[in-house]
Amino acid sequence: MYQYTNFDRQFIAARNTQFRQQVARRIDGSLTEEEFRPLRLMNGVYLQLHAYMLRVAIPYGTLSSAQMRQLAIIADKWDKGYGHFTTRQNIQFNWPRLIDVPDILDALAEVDLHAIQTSGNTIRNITSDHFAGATSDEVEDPRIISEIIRQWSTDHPEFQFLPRKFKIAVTGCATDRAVIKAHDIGLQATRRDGVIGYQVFVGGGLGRTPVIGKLLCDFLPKQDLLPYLESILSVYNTSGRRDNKYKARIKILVNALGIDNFRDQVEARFSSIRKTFASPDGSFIDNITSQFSPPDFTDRSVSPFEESYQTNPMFKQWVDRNTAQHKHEDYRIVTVSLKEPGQTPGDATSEQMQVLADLAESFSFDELRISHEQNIVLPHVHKADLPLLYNTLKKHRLATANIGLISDIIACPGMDYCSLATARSIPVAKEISTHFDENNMEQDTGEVKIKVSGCINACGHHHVAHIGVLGLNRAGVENYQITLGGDATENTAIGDRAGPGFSQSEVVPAIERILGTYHKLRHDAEESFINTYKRVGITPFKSALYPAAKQSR
Amino acid sequence: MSIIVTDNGFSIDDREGSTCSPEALPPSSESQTVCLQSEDDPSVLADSLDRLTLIKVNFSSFSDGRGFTIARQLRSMGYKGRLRATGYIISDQYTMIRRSGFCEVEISNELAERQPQHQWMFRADWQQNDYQRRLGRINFNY
Amino acid sequence: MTEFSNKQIITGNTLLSGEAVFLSGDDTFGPDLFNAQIFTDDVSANHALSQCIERSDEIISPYLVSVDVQNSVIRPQELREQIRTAGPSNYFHGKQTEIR
Repeated sequence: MYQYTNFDRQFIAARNTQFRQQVARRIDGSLTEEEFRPLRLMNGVYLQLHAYMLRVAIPYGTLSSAQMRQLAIIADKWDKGYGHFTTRQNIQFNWPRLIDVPDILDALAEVDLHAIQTSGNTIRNITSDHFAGATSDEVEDPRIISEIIRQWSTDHPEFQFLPRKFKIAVTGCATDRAVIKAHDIGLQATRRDGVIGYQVFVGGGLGRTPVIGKLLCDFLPKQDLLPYLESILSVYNTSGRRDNKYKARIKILVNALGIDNFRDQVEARFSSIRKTFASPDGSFIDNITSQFSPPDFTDRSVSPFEESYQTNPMFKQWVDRNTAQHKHEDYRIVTVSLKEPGQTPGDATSEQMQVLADLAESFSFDELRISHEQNIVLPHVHKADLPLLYNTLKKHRLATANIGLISDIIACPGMDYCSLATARSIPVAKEISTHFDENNMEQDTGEVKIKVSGCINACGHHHVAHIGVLGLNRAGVENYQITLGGDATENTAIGDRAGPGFSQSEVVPAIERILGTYHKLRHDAEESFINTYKRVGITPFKSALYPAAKQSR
Repeated sequence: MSIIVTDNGFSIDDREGSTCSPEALPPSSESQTVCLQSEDDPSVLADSLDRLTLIKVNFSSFSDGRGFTIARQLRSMGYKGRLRATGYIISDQYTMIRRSGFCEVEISNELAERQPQHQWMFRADWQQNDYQRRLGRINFNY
Repeated sequence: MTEFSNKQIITGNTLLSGEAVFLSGDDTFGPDLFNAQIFTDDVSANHALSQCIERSDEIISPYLVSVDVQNSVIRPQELREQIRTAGPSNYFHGKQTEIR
């Protein structure tokens, strides 16, 4: 993974000194609250319901063991002993004091971490495929350009006060695990005549106006990447709406102009912006590229694995469910579930973080990933190490074998923490996971993606869930709308709203009716929920959800 | 009266006087100074750049970043004269201002009192720690 | 017994710690809901709020919260404010951990 240079370290140190001073200047009156607010936001500090919240950047979801250990130490020293991993591959601490934040940022800097541009109307932390560098079908490791874009976007002088936030996601292969078409810009590495370039999608996003990203450029040559991105941002900074924050995202601009007109504007600006970039220093790019070279995979016998796999059904179930094919046949990609039924999705205690750091050091070349599905990935584990890894995870309640199943729920913090939320998400997610775990319906149901958002801003990605749950406030009472048939893969789809919302206690029965309908209608156990839904459409699910309405027709 | 901030600190405005909007700038005019608002398209000045000696870009709010892109566009169009940011800008933005191609900032006396010279000078090292320059993005410093 | 009237309190978060706090009768902000000053008419509530907005060196974005008062126990009407005055529902954290 990318190793910080002295340049990166000096940058972070200077930035931290600036933020420390900004806090002091807010206190002494040099900065008003209105002026300080965007400055603290661009350093990751929000004000939530109970306290400030610090969102730490985990660039493209990649962490070292030392970094994970430091997050655990921060959780113990300045927070309440846990952290919340988010759908943006970041980690949030829910209880820091503003006056401690400069010290926390210094502690992060000790391990080359920071909270820069995790909020604010600027280019946010770049997100990417959590299987990057480990999956077999990659054109290119997406972390290479993610790192280049991280550097380009960090403290970019033109783009710190955009009309609204701006999110870029990158995938290195046709299989999309980064939901790139739900981002302001989505990039997919592709090969043409043996040369690597990028497909560029623009104007995707969830929130109150869900839009699937549109193809802006079918093949962007590598050397044009930064000037082209800068051209998109330049057009957006000039023409994005600033009169209404709900219409300020680039998707609204792209829809208003039409993709062809928008493309013309980008191309026009590209013709001049291209000249403002010297040809990138080849050795600089080569150096970044080489830092993402594959680790030295070892040739060892996999017999300890085979033995456990044959004799331990629990282990077998976990391997089948939580590990994925690696590009090296003796290795597996391990996904550690942070979704133990009844627990808060995405939360890890400091002890669990320490354990994961140790396991990554011992068994995964010192590397961890955070997935947008709020789980933790150990990208390169030799099969022979899987039994010991599994046993250690089990001791720390990290061996839940539920990846992709009902209880592997994405949930935003919701109204338990978030000042924007209109309803709680966490209790709903906990009830769903507990219920379907207890009635043993999970394994037989197979893959179904449930995602819960506590407001229309859709941090819980409900629009692209197979079963989406959106919490709203109806006359002072929490009310949950259900959407069906969304898809977060390369076949990106926005779910259809099923009908009127449900009270909190009605959500689990409603999902039970949806899943019951699936079991009734599927051809066989091989036909997944989403494929069944695509075949039969929403009507039978609606009838199951609203039986009274059916009778009255 | 207002205060001009440069890398050397505070000074008084040596170019006080009226400026005109781009629409009011007749092709034959002798005026050497023009003021752009955030919504203005800098390309309207393409034919006047040679004779302009001061272009002001007004920020109606520090949180409206359009002026940064306007400055960048003017520089990439070849303007080499004085480029001044006016309106509401805070000292924390000085680095962005300079890296976008501005040479100076015009601030109110009220802001200069609340954010005195040393707070602006704290950011006078704007040439340091510049990620974009390392990636080949050219800075236009005049 | 519930007194039916338009009762409001003033809340905000402290600048330095971010903790949710409430304006009390002695014009200070504190963490305890039970000490909150109850305003019974909009005019005095808005007047007090405008004074709190001036105290930006201490309190961030103060606002009014409608409450019910029963047996002198103050309870915000909105769920959001109930959570804010109690703590999150997933962990025993926040104000619910403090003895009332």
